Amino acid sequence: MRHLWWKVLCGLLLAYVTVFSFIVPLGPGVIGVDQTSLSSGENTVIIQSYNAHLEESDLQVFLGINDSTYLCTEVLEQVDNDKLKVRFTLPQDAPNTSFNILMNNAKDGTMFFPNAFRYADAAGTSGDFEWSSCPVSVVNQENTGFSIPFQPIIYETIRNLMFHVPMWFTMFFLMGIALVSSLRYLSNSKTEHDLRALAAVQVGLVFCVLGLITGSVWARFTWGAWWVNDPQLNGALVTFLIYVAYIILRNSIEDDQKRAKIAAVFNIFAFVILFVLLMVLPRFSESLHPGKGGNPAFNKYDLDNTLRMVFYPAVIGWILLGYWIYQLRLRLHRIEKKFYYNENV
Amino acid sequence: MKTFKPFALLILCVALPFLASAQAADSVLEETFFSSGKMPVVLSVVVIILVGLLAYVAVLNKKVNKLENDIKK
Amino acid sequence: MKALMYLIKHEFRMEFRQKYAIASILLFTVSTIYVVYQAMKKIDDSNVWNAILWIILLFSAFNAIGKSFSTEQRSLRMYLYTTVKPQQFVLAKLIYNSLFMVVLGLLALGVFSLFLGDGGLGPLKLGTYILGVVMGSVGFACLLTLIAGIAAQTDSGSGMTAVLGLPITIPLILIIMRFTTQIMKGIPFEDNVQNILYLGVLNVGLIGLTYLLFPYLWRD
Repeated sequence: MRHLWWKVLCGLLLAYVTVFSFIVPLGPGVIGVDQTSLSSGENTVIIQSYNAHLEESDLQVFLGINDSTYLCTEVLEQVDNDKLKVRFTLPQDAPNTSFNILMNNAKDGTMFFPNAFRYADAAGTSGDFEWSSCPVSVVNQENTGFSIPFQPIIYETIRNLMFHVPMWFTMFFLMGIALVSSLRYLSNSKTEHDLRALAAVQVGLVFCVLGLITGSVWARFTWGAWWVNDPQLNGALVTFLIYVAYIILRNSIEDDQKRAKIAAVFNIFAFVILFVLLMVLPRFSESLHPGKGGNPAFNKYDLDNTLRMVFYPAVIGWILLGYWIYQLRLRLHRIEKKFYYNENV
Repeated sequence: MKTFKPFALLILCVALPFLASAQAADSVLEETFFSSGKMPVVLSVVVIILVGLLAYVAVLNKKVNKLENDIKK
Repeated sequence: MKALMYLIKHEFRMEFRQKYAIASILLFTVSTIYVVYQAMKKIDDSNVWNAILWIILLFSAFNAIGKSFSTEQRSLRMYLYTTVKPQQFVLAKLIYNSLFMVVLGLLALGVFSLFLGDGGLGPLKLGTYILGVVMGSVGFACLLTLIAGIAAQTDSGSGMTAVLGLPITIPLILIIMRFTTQIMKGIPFEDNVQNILYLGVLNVGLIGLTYLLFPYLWRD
């Protein structure tokens, strides 16, 4: 029982994470509009929303012209569950050519959709037209419901945060174990530490492959391509290649002692270079990942308290699962060593 | 044979994006995965992880079987 | 110190005694450049010029340094093992490989521009570009010396260098490509100098790491 508690914890955490990441609803937001280009005079557009309560009577829709200027629209009708028809009149002069949508009601809070429209007719700074004719004070109110924050383009896939991202944490945890084991092997030459490094790399590679594949799927349906030139992705791929090289190196040496020593040397050398790479890469290129290269970070309003309640347990749970599998692999190695080579480890 | 497996894995991983992009042109794929707020993407990610870990457990299982047989002999 | 000088001299003597080894490395580099020349005649796009030159340098480095441990005979190694410290031995190797790679890199740069044009580099930027080639070549030498030592210990020999070394060269290639493309774009040296500093720090780190780790490889 003493050795069991963390396995039970792992199971409980992962169960909690899975249940929570599927039952917490996604917050409300705007997905798109039926026409992106506006002309002067009267415009009627249909706004498509997601999970929003359009039927609420206090619903207001604004066009955000710039930081301080808003245009009220007239809500005509709710077309279906998540479509709303609005009407507004645009003057010839506008201070900006790209308009945002803001939607408001007490239940959903403020839903923001950046750069929804292009206003091609905009002739210059507006003169006498009264843009800020709405009660702007209601803008930026918080969503009161219990939900995961809505993000443009990402939508529901923000839940992948609990499944894809911890793969990397687990991989780095296991590669860390491999590094420490390799260092200890070089200092005391005990087979045990060699087996630990090997098992950690093997299981770490499984998580690396899972991270690459799930990341690829996620990227396809949010960024539009299976693979993009992104420092995170390149770093992940190089990590994969380096540890595959480590396995190949082990397989190409027959003598046990020699194999262990050389593999340990390579592992340390490779880890240091990998570290350099992961420090250097992000400085060199733009990243599509959140929090990098001007993208919104998950730690500000994105990783809000609801997400945090699930994300941290997810990371711990997956790391524990990785450690568990690593221990099974290690024990198997030990038994094989004992049985085939009659060597006590 | 022993070094073959990592090589095969490597080739597979390099070839996968190309294979995938060859069929990616169909909008059916996008339509399916974009429906209901891109929820199918989350489901497929979860399924991939489950299948991957199960496959690894199966590999371990095979190794234990082999060891057991050898010990019996 | 004396032993170090002796070892470096020894490396040179070994290399020049086997002239065919040097000749084969030079032949590899020059004929690769010639193949590129036959395929492309003249390269005007500076990015393509830069990329191809570094790919050639990368493979030349693998070819040259990959051999550096396999040429020694076993008896000679046993002799060295009893007489010098592995740290001195690997420092001598590092210095020799660096010098050799710098010469090879500059030679490749010369032959490459002779055949394929200067890719818009011009005499003004040549100085900084040569600095890039020198630093890059030293980087290759620092990175690949230990890898070649590891590969020499495997049963598949020096062919292993490429498998182990290629993923590891990526950070180096990224930095050096960044430095040289910025030179080609005409960005002033003051704005570009941090890349060469990164490279210098990386090289020093690699030398330190090789110095610490090599003794474990040597005694078996």
